[in-house]
Amino acid sequence: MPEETVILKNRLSELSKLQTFVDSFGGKYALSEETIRNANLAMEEAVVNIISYAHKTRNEEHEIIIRLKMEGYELVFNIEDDGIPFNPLDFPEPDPDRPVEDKAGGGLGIYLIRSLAKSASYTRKQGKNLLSITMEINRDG
Amino acid sequence: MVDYIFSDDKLLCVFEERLDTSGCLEFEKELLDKAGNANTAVVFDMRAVNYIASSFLKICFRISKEKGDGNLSLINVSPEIKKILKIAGADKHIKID
Repeated sequence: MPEETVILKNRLSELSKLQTFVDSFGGKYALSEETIRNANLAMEEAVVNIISYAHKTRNEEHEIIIRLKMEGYELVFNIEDDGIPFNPLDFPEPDPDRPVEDKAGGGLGIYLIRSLAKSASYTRKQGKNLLSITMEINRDG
Repeated sequence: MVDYIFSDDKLLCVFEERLDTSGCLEFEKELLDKAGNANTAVVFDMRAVNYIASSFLKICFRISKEKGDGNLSLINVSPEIKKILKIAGADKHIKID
């Protein structure tokens, strides 16, 4: 099964590198535009969360390692960072009926990840956060 | 990154194609200021937009909250973007065409 890895620094400026990585993987394996767009969105939200919450100060430089592989009709992202223990999946289940006042706050990124992904899991191992996100490959578009 | 067109009855904001976290950070303050100062409805022209992240959704929700339901509308929205807006429940507060 094809697998590729990208290593990002915990900087928002690195998001363009992430986009290039996902686009390139998608192009190489002829994934649909919708699959690539959803994968980009889920990855961006996951990485922005890590950049925003995983370290005590934003001045510290850390690495975020993303391994992407294709397994049959699924894309599996494994995201590793060495930040403080942080399970983004602890946020409440998505609720599209929340009032607008609540939606303007936090949690929207995780909300999108959970909605776009087939499954997601989190573990803490050897001082690292390991987030795994599985997305279905849309063969129609 | 955002073109603003003022008229008597609305503030029209025309966006470029990619509204990701980095892009939104660049125009967020200016957009919130202009929308907040406008005594009219606010309309986002999404004709060119093919990607939105949660940072853009948050901006929409902030403006919708500030202006009141129905005073922010999104026009020329592609089916793909509509899907994301619907997942986030934006269609419950914002007019989307």
